[in-house]
Amino acid sequence: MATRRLLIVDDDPAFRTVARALLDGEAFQVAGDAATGSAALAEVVRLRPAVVLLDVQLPDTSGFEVCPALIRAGAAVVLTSVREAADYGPLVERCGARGFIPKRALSAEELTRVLDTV
Amino acid sequence: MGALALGGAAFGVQTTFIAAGVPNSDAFRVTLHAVAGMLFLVSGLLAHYRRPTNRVGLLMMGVAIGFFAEDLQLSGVAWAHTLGQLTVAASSPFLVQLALAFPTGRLETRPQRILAGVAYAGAAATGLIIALFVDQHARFAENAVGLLLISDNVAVESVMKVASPLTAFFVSVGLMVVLIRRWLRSRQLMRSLLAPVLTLLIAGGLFSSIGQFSQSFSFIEDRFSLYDTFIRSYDVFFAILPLAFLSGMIYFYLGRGAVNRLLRQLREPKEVGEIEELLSHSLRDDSLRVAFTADPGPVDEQGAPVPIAPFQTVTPLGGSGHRQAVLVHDSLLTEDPRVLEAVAAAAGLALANQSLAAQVAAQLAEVRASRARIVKAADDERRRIEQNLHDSAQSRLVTALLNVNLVRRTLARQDAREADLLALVSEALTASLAEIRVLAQGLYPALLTAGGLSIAVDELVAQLPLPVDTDLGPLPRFAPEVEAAAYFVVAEGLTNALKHAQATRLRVGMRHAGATLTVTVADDGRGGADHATGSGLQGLLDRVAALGGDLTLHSPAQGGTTIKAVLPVDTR
Repeated sequence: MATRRLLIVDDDPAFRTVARALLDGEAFQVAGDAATGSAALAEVVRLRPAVVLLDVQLPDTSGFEVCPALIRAGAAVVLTSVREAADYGPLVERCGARGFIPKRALSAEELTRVLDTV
Repeated sequence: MGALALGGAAFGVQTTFIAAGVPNSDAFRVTLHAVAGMLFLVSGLLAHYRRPTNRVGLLMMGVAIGFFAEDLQLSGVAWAHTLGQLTVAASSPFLVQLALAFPTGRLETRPQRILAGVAYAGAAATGLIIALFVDQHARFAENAVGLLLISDNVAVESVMKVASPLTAFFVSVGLMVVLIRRWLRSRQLMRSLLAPVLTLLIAGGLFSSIGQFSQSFSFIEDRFSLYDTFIRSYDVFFAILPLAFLSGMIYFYLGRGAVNRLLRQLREPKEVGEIEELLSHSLRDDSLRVAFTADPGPVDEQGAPVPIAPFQTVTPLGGSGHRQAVLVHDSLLTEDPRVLEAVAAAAGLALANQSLAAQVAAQLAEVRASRARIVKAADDERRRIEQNLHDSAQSRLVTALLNVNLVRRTLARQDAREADLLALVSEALTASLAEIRVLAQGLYPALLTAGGLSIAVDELVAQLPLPVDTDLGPLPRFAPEVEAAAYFVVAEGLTNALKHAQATRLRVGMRHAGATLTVTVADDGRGGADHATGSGLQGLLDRVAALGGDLTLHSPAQGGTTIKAVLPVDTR
């Protein structure tokens, strides 16, 4: 299976580092990261990633709000958060994201599973 | 005073008989004179009883008795005829003084006193000169010979014929000047008193003058009937005059009922404007203002100066709190000091009540606002703590967990035994995260902030093990404190239904209409819930009341429980 280019969007540098270490490998190639919603919009145009791992809570906007623009730019979006899926109810589905992974359960396998589940 | 009136009436009957007994007497005029005299007498008595300290009533009775006495000259009895000659113009000076002193009963200025003095002196002189020098018996055989007659002096008589009307003319003009000046200087109250009197005096004076004038000139055809018409009209005006004085006295001096009514109305706390309107209307003084003492002069509620007109007086109002309130009013009102005092005291009290009521209302509003602020502050704090947990503790724990998992994976490839130890760390971290999540969720639901009320309540309901009918409408976003209150009403209602009610079905409704949001939670359980027993319910009650809303609990035994909150909302 082809390696998918991944953009990590999260304002916490410690999380970006560990996520990069966790996810960069056979399944995903981390093309870059962004700390804000607006940076994410710029990077998604510049780097053309196949997948964006998007934190729900960003300093300048929310993941739900920026998600549709990232999808229009051609990326599949998977939301992530310290909180659980139930904390966001129907909002994940409504914003067009492929799915949600709580940060505690983040792994390349889980991300692949979410992306490949239709 | 009753005796004076009774004596006057008897005297009037007597002189009317004398006047009627004269051959060829005019029955119409005799009757009208009798009626006029009696009306003055009775009106005077009534005016006196209305206001015993006011001289107006007495003066009216004076006019009546003087008026009757004038007819005594028609008597065939010598002493009565002589008395009649002496009092030939007795009613006029009383009438002049009455008109000058109305409605206070006092002659206020020097010109007024001089004018009245001239009227009395003129009347006395006229009477005396006629008694001494005019022999009426020589002209009218039925009249007696005057006891004081010195000689029938034609020269004196012809001087009298000029001097007497001339004096009357000047006194009348003086009287008119005084009354018209008083009219011009006064406002509503005095004018409404003066209007009928002034109208009748001017009309009477006019008709009398035209009558005299028509008699003096022979070129006017049929002059006697013309004279009769005008003189009779004058008699009618004169007969009505006492009623004008009496109505003025009744109108001016408020009756006990009117005062009591006014005092009763002043018992309620009232705005300054309302008090002003009430007093102005009740006391018939459209110049009346409620003001507050200041330097240099009184000011109104807004601080604008309240001018004091020359005809006005300032009376302090009792007990008005921090500001000294005063009444600026027509000086005429001081004629009735007891009424003014009572009204001022009551108005002062009403003002004090009003300022107290305003203070209480302001305090109540402040308490409400502060209660709302307290609830909002508590909510804000809960939301802040939930956010902090998310931003710091939970984020760090998650990152730590992921790092541990990363290391675990690497170690697992090397078959290191430490990997098992790290699995324990990973489990502990996961458990801690779960506990913190429960704590954070209870503090403030993240979904409420992110998704709004219907989404958050929908999610809450979805987690329940029972079927729930929901009617959550499409709702706009409300202020955070309103959304929080509505959310916690639902959460607490559902918790109670599950814990205590043994319910099998639940219903949650939220409806937004106009400026209210109505939240209903109902179950089919055993009922019997009470605010007092559940601290959760009491907390909800406080929370809803703090927002100015209303929470009702309907929970009959075995009849299910319905909690309904009505919250005032501003949509955002």
